[in-house]
Amino acid sequence: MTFHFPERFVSAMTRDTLALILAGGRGSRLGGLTTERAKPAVPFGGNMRIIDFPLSNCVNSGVRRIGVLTQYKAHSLIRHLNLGWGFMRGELGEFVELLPAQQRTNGGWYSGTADAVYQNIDIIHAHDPRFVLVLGGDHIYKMDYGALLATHVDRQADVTVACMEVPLAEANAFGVMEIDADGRVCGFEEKPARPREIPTKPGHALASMGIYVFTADYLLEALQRDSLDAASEHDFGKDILPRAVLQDRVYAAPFRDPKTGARAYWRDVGTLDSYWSANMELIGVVPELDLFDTQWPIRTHQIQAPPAKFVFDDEGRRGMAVDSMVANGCIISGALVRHSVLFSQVRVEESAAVTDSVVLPRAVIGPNCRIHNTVIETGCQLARGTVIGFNPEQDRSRFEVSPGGVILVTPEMLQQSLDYIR
Amino acid sequence: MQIRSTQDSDPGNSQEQRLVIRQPSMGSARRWNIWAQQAAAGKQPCFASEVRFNCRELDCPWRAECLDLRAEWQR
Repeated sequence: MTFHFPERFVSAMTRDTLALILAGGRGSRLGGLTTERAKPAVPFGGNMRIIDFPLSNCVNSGVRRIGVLTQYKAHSLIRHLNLGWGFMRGELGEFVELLPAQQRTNGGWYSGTADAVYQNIDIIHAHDPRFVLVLGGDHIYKMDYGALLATHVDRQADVTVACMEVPLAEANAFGVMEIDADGRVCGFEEKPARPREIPTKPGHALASMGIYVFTADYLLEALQRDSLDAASEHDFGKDILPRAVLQDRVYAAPFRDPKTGARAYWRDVGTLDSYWSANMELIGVVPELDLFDTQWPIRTHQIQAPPAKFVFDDEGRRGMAVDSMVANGCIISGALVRHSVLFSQVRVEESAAVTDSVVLPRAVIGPNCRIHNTVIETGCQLARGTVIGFNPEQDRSRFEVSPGGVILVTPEMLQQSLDYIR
Repeated sequence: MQIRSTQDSDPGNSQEQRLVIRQPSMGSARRWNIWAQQAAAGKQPCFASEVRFNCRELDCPWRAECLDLRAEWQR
């Protein structure tokens, strides 16, 4: 296969790319946050959901043909996509298309990441892309996929894998790669018990970010072959990539800050601890992930609500939030919010104190509550005087407590009935 | 002028903040100015253009800004 670089290089590549976002996973390590929704639909950063990051990256990169593969408890995700991502112009060849498991190739659900794509093979054919960009729907980062596509074309690769260096101790959670001096991948192992070190950087391993560019014809062939393999788990990391590394041209594209060359921001908010700390990081004066950056905006759907309101300014009865992010529709009434993220339409009532916490939409923190180091799920109503985050034993008996000491409170734990969509 | 975001600015320096807000890092005037300089130097006016990801000119004075993370529809 020959490649050439036309004058309109980047836009030609991005226009001929179909992005497929794998958004069917539950993300069970997030516990109660994903009992009623898929991980990509989990709220993040005050007014977004996790899936807004790969979607915004696509649009900002000029990739405007996007399929979102859904499966587990997808309703809130689908609703979010309908409300916030329906702006593409179909008549101009742009779309965000929902691709739920619908038994197109057999009678089953998506049985692995590769199977999820394989089950939509006729749809991929119909869109006739030159490149297929496979993305996870559950990571927080800002990336120009144009750079990744450029690497892919430049190297005349069959597959290009975005990667980053991670400490060896964390590497067993990822696909770990070995590369030669030219950046060609010569070894790939999914979640290895003993990850291989980067020879030039002891103590670190090269981890796959689960972001792949495939030349479309190559992908379709590889998926067909994999579907016939009874021993395969039909997973990109476990089956498609290890096989491709042995036989085909697989290249690594390190994910770095394009300006500084340093490792770029990327978070897998897969556990309650990492979810809480990624939200807390946003509060910093100059956070690593800058949501106020207008050059690379993260788009979302926001509820229509008035600006946040802080009422009462009497001594001992002052409504205030400091060192915090407070979304629209919130009312802080004679209460203190410190170093916390409040999503839309949260109420914090008289004399309550919320510190180091993440409060999801429509939660109500009743009068005299004291909440610390806690994630409060959407719609929870905390009764007057509730205290959370000060007595670990008591918290463990009522709520979910992470290894790092973050407490998760859901309506179920409060015996409150669910009458809304999360 | 040094390019700084409003977040990076010293909060006490309101004059600089106003300047930053009025003068975004890559307005059309700046792009055209750089292109003119590139053309005058006998080079392709390629700044922030389609070929940026394959650029091998490591000593280009505009390289960092050219490759900066910026939405395609803002380039």
